[in-house]
Amino acid sequence: MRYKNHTINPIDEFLFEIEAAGDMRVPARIYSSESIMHGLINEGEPLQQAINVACLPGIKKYALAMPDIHWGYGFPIGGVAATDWQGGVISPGGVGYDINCGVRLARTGLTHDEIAPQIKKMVEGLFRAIPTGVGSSNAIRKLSRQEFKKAVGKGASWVIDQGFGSVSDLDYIEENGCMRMADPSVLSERSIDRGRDQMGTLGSGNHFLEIDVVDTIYHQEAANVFGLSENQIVILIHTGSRGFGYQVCDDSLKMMGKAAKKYNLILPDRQLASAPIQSSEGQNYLSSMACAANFAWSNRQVIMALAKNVFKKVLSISDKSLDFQLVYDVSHNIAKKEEHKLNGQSQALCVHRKGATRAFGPHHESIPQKYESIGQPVLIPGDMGRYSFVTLGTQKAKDETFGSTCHGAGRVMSRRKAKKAAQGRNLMREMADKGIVIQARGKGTVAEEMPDAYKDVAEVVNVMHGSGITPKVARLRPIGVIKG
Amino acid sequence: MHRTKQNFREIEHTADVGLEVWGKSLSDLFLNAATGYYNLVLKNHPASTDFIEKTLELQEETPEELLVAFLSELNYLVNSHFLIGHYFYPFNLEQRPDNQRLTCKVRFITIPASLRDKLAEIKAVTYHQLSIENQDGWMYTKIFFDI
Repeated sequence: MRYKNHTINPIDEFLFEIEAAGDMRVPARIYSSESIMHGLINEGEPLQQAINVACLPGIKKYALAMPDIHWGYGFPIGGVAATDWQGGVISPGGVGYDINCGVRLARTGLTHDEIAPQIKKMVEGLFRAIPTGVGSSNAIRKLSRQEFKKAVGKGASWVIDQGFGSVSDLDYIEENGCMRMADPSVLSERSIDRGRDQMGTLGSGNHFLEIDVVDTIYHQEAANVFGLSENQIVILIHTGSRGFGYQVCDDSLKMMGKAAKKYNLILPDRQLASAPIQSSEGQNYLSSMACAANFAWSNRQVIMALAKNVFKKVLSISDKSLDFQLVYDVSHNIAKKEEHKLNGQSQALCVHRKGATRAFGPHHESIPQKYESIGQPVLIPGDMGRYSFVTLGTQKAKDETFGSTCHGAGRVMSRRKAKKAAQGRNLMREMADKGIVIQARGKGTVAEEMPDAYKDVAEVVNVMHGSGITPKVARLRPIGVIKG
Repeated sequence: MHRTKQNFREIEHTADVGLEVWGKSLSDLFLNAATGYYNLVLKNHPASTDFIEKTLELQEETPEELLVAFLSELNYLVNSHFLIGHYFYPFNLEQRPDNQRLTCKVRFITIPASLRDKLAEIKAVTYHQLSIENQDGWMYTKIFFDI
């Protein structure tokens, strides 16, 4: 296979390598099926972006792309790159605007049959309780600037102190809900302005909160450890750092654009604007990115707490009967300092995951003790009409992909085309016929987010399952959805 | 080149949204880009006689960077303060090598609470494939927004 003047070699059924050539410092490796790969070669741009990433100073081993790869700004979405912590660069394009966009899964002790008669009331209750849509605000009171800085400095523990959830939740959040390198003093006033009244808000677009039923178990042992069983009701939350994170990224890109010139970085794409990690600009970005990451974990913590309250109120049940527990919360847009083995030696790297999810295997010190024997849960959301997946982190992921895997489905249709395709259709009725109750800000949102607009996430998940990177644990089917 | 009456057109994009924009001058291009941006954010703008006036002063090295800075400023004001620019006058662009300056007075309307649900959220203005060109006597650009 070839892309432009690059040779693409199949490594195995699910892995392809673009040989390092020209300015590429390392090869690019794409996890993909053959059919997805042919589509990518035709499309061109995502592969070119993976090749561009392979040119970054200090990049190690490979520029990686997951099977949900599609073009983004600088890095492709579905991209992973690890740079040397001492001598390499950090690039905001390798994280994305929605810093720490991620997914949270909470389980309950309820079954589908137990809540089916109440699902409409539950969705209505969730929609009332959890702000959605643009500029949605006031899930919790608008924070003062001081409070906001404390919140983004401390992460999820700060909102827990305000009464949203319990301390034990922290064990089941990546980084225990707080990146310690956060430094609120580097934040712009503008970014604080955009974030102060958005704590505990879902946002819009492809963000959602779902009531799902576990409809298939693939890996019984892992499911047992995660507390998942067939017919069980779970909640899936997908959102990120909202306007605060977007502004942090915007501020950082401007800074990095100047830094790239200052440090004479030759970059194939302006949107790969970077700075040496150890420079003042690099450290500034890490500190502000960490603040945004902490905001997102706090955000999902508040939303989960609000959702739990709705469940209790609508179903009139006690905490004990509800048995509501956080399974895991994991990011898919972030850059982190991690130790990985290169040529047999452990080395500190900056791992950029943009539309890619961490997937650590058994016995890794960063995963909850309860999951030590089995590995980390990985949460892969699909579209609102089909399914999402829980998969499992592995040592193979740690060895081959810097402990990373895919993050979701990706769109196949523009929002405009989706709205056009929806004309004359009653999408709410179509979803209801599938047993899914939806409440959204407007019909436009439902049209833009309809299942036909997305790839089938199973195709993406099956590549990572087939490659042994992240085996499937469970499939979740939506029965109630709220969207902004 | 098929310009539209409004001198901007939405570009189909799978994940995000883009605009093609034309203008008889660079200033026109900027103003048409602003109009196109607001068209993406909110289809029907409210009528109002209550204005908030602000002065924008921006400076960048290239016209492309200045355009991104200008639209980013408008995006920040929509998202943080629910302000939509209604009237841009005076609007001045000064171009020197490595130094592009924009100064303008803008009358903003506050988007009423009843319409805020209808706002499309634009995360950011990007530099993707951004280039301002002269095509057949018209200034032209494509600009993409992360949504």
